[in-house]
Amino acid sequence: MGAPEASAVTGRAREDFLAEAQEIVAEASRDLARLEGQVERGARDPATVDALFRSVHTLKGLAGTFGFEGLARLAHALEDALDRLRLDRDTLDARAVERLGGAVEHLAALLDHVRAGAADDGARTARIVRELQGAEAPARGHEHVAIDAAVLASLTEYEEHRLRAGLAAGGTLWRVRAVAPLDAIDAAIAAMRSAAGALGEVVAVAPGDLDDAGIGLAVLVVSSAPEAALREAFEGVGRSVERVTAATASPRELATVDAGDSTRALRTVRVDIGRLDGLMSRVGELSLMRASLQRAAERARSGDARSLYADLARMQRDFGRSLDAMQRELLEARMVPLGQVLERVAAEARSLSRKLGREIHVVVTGADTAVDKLIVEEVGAPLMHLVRNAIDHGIEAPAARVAKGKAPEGTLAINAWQAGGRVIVEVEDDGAGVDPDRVARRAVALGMLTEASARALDARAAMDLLFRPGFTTRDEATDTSGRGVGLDVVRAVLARLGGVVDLASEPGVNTRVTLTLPITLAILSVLLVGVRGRRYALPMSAVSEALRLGRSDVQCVDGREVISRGGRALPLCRLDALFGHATLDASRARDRFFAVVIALGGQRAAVAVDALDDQHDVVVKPLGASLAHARWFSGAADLGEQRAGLVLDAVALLDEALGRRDDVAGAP
Amino acid sequence: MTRATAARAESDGERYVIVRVGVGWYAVPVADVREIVTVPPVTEVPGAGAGVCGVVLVHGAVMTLLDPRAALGEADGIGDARARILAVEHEGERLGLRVDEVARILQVSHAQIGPAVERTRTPQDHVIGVARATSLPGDGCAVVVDVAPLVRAVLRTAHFL
Repeated sequence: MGAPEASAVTGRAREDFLAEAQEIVAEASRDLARLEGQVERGARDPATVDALFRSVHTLKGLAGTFGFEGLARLAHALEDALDRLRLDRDTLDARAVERLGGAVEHLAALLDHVRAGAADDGARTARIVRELQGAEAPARGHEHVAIDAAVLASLTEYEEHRLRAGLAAGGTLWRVRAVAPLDAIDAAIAAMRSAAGALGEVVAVAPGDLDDAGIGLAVLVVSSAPEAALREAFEGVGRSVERVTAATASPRELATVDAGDSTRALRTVRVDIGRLDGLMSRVGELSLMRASLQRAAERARSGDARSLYADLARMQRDFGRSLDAMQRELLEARMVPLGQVLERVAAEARSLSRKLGREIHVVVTGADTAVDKLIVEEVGAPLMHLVRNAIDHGIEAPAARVAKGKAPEGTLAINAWQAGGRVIVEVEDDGAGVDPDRVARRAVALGMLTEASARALDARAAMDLLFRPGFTTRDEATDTSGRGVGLDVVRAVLARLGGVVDLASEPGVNTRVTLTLPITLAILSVLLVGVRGRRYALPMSAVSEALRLGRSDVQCVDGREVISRGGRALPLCRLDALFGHATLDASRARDRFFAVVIALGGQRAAVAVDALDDQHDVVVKPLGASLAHARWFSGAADLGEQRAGLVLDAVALLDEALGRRDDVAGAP
Repeated sequence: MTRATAARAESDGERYVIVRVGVGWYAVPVADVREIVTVPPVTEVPGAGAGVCGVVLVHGAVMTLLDPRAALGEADGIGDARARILAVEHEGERLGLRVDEVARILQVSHAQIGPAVERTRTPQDHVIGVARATSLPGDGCAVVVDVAPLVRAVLRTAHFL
């Protein structure tokens, strides 16, 4: 430290950066002064901390982009501290304000150093960062307040916190609905906020349907005021005011003004404006084509067939191209950077390591890797679990590390990158690792394995035991991990998303858990099965296990074949007979076969196949209307070798196996 | 036919793809055919019915391949190296018609197309008529078919047989 802030940026760009950064710091100083006044008066406005948080967040991004490391580090620490304050994880008192003040002051000083090209005071930066990080206090949360999960799902963490705080303070949640012209949406939201005024706090604003009258808005307000007072306040601004109870709140009610898709609020995506522009220009192209088609139709009436044909062929080509591009862009619009979730997980890891007295360096790479929005939402919980595992079971306490000849500070790396059509997220720690022998012994102790099979286990199979439900290497659940979701749940979440999880470890050196995810849910992970020389694809999401069985494993109950699994009889459906590739007798005469157990929504059945092939990732295409009656299949996919492969419809097969087929066929 | 009338007939005609299905020759309007491709490996679709050969991949897209034999009253075996797929558009879906051979593309005038009494036992709306021309293969005649009703007829056999 002590060297000038090294940045590749010079000249004009540097001036631009300084101008903007200085403006942000000036604004932060003003907000801080306001906050100080509020704390003195004991009348804290959450919006002030939030504004401060946003300023610092912007500064962090700017400094990072321009390569000013010291600035970025300090801004990051300050942002974390402000985040804890706005979530009430730290106490906002005079001391906290003083700490923030020192940090903002030093931000200004660092900017001066940058401007002067002078050496910055690295030691001072490091000390302030430590102060900010050390300021954490136990949570003073409101987690006991019951709120409908569907409402929560549509809120950001901060909004959720404000809602909980408001409800804990005795407030009631109200929803005010309004319709505003699209170009006056900001004014409308401002009007709603000012109408809420002293009566309560606007927690969240959700846009709803857009129609001729304008865009629907649903505003969530927490207030202790009586209903009549609220109605009066929103008179002329909102269309309706209603009380939201835990039982009735649903995302639909939250986000839409009129009846609509029940999942809309959960599935909003913030889209980069550039992408919307791209889509809009495609729409423009399509409108032009519509005009050309109109002209062509008019010419058709006058009867110049040859040139008309040429025109139409060209139009069809252009149309197809535009449509393809539009499809691609729409798919991209679903993509968001993984950074959203990785940063959250990293912050959790840092805070946890402090709590446990570990010295852990948390590194995140590949935060800009883009992945389907729905996947980003789902992958947070599994990652959080892996990180907790790494800190709790993996990385040793500093003394133990030193005794093993390792550096006292452990490293936890969360790396993400794209590999072909997949995204890989890796959680790696340089801790104690996993000893396969110990895992096997533990499995025997838990009654999951016999002594003999434990001895025969190879390292990879032993690692696999970790993903079994109920497996734990700790005798007691610790506060941090060992309860809640286990690795089995991590695997289940990944399977649902069409992904896989792998664990590799070198005992004493490291543990690396690799999550392989599809980039989009339009890509499906399938198990290829062989049926009398033909290959079919079974969605992995429906497969619970595959068994090798013999003729004697099958019993006949009420004329239906069943196999016994875990004390339950599972109906068996023979695909070769069902598909007419073999007679039922020929199928039953087989000595050995594979049974793939499919499980959906608590119901299970087995399908008999001849061979199990690999697992593949495929892009599933729907079958056309011409095959609407081929009900065993949900689509087709390129399985290689120039051949279209059929994707089995797990629901239809389950219905068939459970004998529900007639009900289906009876429907019009 | 004089050269003059032949020329006039030429000008008011239409271009057809002349194909063989089973033992019969058929004329399919070029305007209805999007593409002619060789037959890639076919994946049969259990439960799809007699009129459907299966699904195929054409340029990475999945296409249903139809077997028009039953609808055209042909019975002979399919499957030699000369087989082709005529890709057609039907109600927004791209479908393939499997034919045993594509002979040529030929201009046929309206005057060369007569009624189709002797080829079909009952009137079928996918048969427009019979084209006669010395340039046609076989015995010099081909059944002119209308693609949309033909596809509908094939899909009927797929759904109900």
